[in-house]
Amino acid sequence: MIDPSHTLFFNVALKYGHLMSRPRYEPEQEFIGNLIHELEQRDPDFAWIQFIFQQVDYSRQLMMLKNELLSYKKFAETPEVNGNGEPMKRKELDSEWYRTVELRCKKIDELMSSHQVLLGIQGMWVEKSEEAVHGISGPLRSVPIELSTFQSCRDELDSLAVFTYRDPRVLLELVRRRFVTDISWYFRKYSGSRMESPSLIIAAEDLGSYVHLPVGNITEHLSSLLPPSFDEEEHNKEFTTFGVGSGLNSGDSPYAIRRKEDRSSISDLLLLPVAEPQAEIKTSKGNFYLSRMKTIPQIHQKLDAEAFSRLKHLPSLYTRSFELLYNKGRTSLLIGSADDRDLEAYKGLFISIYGGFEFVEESAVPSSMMR
Amino acid sequence: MLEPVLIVMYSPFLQFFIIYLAAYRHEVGRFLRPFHEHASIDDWRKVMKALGVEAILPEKGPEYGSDKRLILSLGITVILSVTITLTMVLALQKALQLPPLFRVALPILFQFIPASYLFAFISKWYFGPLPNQPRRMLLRYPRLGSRIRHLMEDD
Repeated sequence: MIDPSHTLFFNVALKYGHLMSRPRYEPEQEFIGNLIHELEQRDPDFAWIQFIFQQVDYSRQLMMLKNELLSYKKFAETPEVNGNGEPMKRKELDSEWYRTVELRCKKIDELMSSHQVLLGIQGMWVEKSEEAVHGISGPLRSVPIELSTFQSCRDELDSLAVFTYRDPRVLLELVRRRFVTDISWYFRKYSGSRMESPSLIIAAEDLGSYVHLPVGNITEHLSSLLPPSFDEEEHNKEFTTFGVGSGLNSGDSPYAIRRKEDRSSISDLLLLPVAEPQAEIKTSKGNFYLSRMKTIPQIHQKLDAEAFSRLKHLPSLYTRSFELLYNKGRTSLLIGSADDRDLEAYKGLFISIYGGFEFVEESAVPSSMMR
Repeated sequence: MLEPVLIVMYSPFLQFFIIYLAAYRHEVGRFLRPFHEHASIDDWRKVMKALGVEAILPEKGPEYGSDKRLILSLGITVILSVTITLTMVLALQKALQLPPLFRVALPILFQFIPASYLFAFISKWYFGPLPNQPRRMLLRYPRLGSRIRHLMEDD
């Protein structure tokens, strides 16, 4: 039974709506590990977090926005003339909006010089019922969902924030893997009555900050990643001996060996961006193809810089997703694409970076959600 | 037939429009593209049907956007407006010494009371949060997110 009183939906967007902001999580590569850790700490009945992304080209809108900011700067620096014909400093010169124009223009330049990716982060949260927690019934707490891992993603201008909804139509969007791809309205409104864009524009090299496998020391503490039929022998053999450390193919663990084999068997084509971002965006015919990672490797050492930088090749012209499902103390990772061949390329790229692991097909509506 | 000036004097329509223009001056077209949540049990049923999922839903739930609430608020607005109108008519009949300008202006001003009530309701449940001031570096938070504007856009 679905209980609307204990179900919330959310998306993650820029708290102050500065479109050119490039929030990042520090330390690098620890975002997903810490997010899973936070889920385990909060331990909801069910949580579903989607990272949906696609290559885009918003250079024209970014350029127009930069011109608008520079025009404002010029206007603010032009003295106004008072009644006596004397030049006077404009009050705009003292505003925060004026003081940050250059920083924002610099951010716009950085985005324009990179391949741009549109990233939508959205999800669903089912709190444990009050009966289960306190033995009393009642609606979900009215406070918004607080996931500090998202709130820690920031730069000098802005940070990420969680926006909470009770509207079940978000569930349809989650199942259909839809995110907002046309954010032109938010560009037009930027200097006026601004709102946060529901999707973020990030540089392709920033995507690895959000979309990666859990790595590092934190994985030792992530109990939800262990398979349901966890046994110590298998654990020692398959999970804890995996290390990336000094290089992509370092270590003699089964994963490292398989990674070497997989890397050599993947064509170079998969390691390159699928197409230039200026090309036409591919739209799906309504289908979305999904695979679940059968097991999630415990990777104790972070990827080296070269391997990590290859995560920038994850976006394609098709919509792709990277999803976390947390259900009754277990976490699953899903990847998906709007095109079946693109999904194979996506899997191949992941395997080439992280090594061999198996995928199984997954349905659009996670079966665990309806249990 | 009622004179237009009487409609303005004794109904809150114009006042509602003035409050809307003042409050949403940075996004006057908001009424064309309102954003609010649909979270009643009926909305849940529609979503489950669209997903093709057989789900057991409770009979009662959070009734956001309920029609009952709208009818109740419209009713309260009408009662407030009629009460104020009758009070004003009776009061003005007794206060013959008031200059003509006051006799017209007072009923109009008092109709801002029901108009404000109706506006607060419509703004909260239908139009969505007030637009932000231009060129502000920081925005209020927590607030209703913009994702809600784009739900089922292609349907």
